[in-house]
Amino acid sequence: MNNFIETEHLAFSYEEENDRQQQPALEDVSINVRDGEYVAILGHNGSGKSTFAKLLNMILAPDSGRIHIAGREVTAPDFTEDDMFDLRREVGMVFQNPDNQLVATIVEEDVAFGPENLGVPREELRRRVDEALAMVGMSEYALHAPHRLSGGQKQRIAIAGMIAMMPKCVIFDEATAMLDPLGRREVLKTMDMLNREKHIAILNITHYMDEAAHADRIVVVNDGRVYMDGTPSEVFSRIDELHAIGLEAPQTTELIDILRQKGCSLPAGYAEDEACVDLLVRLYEEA
Amino acid sequence: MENILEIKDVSYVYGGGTPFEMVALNHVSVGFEKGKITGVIGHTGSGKSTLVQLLNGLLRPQSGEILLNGESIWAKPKEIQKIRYRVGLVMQYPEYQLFDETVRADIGYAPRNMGLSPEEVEARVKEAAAFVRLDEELLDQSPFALSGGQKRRAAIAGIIAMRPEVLVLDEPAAGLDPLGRSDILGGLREYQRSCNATVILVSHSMEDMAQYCDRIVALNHAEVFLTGTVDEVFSRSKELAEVGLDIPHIARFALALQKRGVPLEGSLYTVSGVAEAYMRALQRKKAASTAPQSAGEGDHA
Repeated sequence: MNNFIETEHLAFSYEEENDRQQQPALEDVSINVRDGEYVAILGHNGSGKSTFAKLLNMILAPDSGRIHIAGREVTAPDFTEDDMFDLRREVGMVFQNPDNQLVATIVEEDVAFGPENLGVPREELRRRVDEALAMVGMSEYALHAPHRLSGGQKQRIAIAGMIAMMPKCVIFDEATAMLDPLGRREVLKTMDMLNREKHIAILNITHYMDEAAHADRIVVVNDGRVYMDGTPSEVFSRIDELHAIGLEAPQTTELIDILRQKGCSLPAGYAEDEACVDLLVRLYEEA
Repeated sequence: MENILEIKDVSYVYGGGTPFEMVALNHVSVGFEKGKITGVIGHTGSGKSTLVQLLNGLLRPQSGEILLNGESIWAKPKEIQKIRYRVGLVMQYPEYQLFDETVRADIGYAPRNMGLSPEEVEARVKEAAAFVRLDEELLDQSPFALSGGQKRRAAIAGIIAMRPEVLVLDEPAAGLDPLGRSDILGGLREYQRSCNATVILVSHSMEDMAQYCDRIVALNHAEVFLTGTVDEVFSRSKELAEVGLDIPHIARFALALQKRGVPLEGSLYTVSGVAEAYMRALQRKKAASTAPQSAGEGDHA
């Protein structure tokens, strides 16, 4: 499979304020994302993960290093603004606050906003909007006012607006942080569906370890560098290293870790809930 | 237990009499126990944010009463500002409200307005910064030079510096990493203990609620749906799921273990609670399986 996103040795610092030397947000980051891959990015506040997302969406440009998206080098000197607009439709972004990303007064107009600006013809536009709303399960709200929807519904409208532009990759920048449990589940289900059924690459930047466990691969960023990169079970089995940088593993993994410390003979590492239940039931039955 | 704050039959409607009328709270009555941390949960639009804004008089109920230590907070409407010093409110994303030149000046803003002496203001600023685990070195910096997590701490410290009897926070840990969450929420626990304060906390994270709260109030569609201790509320997982809420992940896991025949007992809503319950279950089983054997050995002797 091809790499949809390739980054090499990215570095980025925000402008200095009050002559204060700023710690670089990114020191040296190289992360690749294959076509249709599902990647979660973890890291504490200030680790550089949101900066990385903004570089991919070309909201920011790196101080040094190279970025390739869909085979185009966006950091090349001959990469023009027009090229950027062309490429940006391939990488969608969903942000934390749903209220900051809705623009129209009717749901379907909001979803149509992106593709309409791309000059998509009317009939095609109609088709894309209907499809996108159906995909996120919001068809019946097509003519509703977005501001009267719940947080999870608003995020799904924002996602539909992305899908209507037919991106190859969608970046979620803590898109569930403000949602209630039901809203989180809805958005997470939508992410899974986009990846598994539509083969859209997903980059989910999150503080929720349970969400990260849905991904094929987890990249942990710390102090502007890649700290870990592996499958959920590889990453979550290094629980001491996660704790060392202020992160956690999912609650079940934390539980097994505590039980091991109390002397239970259990294998270290991450497993899905059902497998953990099996482990603990067996240990109990054999006691 | 004594309730420090009491909401009595309060209703609040946005856009009343217009086609956009929306009932945010519908005849709500609920009490908040003195010296406890109470969590408020509810789906988006259930009325949580309206409730917290009523508690310190930012909104005035259209019917019903809000009692602080038995007295209506609206008894003297012109003195509502005094109520706001006693019931401190930290709104969502409070870091957007930082404004002063230094972190020290920003945290000290409310205590200065309360007319405290400069020495007392300085003491309060240091104390509040310590509660939210904000490094003292940062006090002389511009609040805008801080990281997101530090800004949040500074903003919360600005309210704690008033030493409110009741501290109300709307999603204080949203968007923070696990360490930031535990620092801030753990800091609230310390504030509550050392000042015997009452804390009211709105959050969507059931895991945080289980870990940091004593009691929980669950709202659903503008009404109080459940209220009780953490154990009482989270033991009703089916009803919570029906209204779009949830129990902590680890609690669902504990239910699955129980269903498979592991007799877990006690408070099963935090990782440490489940770990202890599991160890107790193991020990009981080991004791039970060795007991008949030792009785048997006794017979031989």
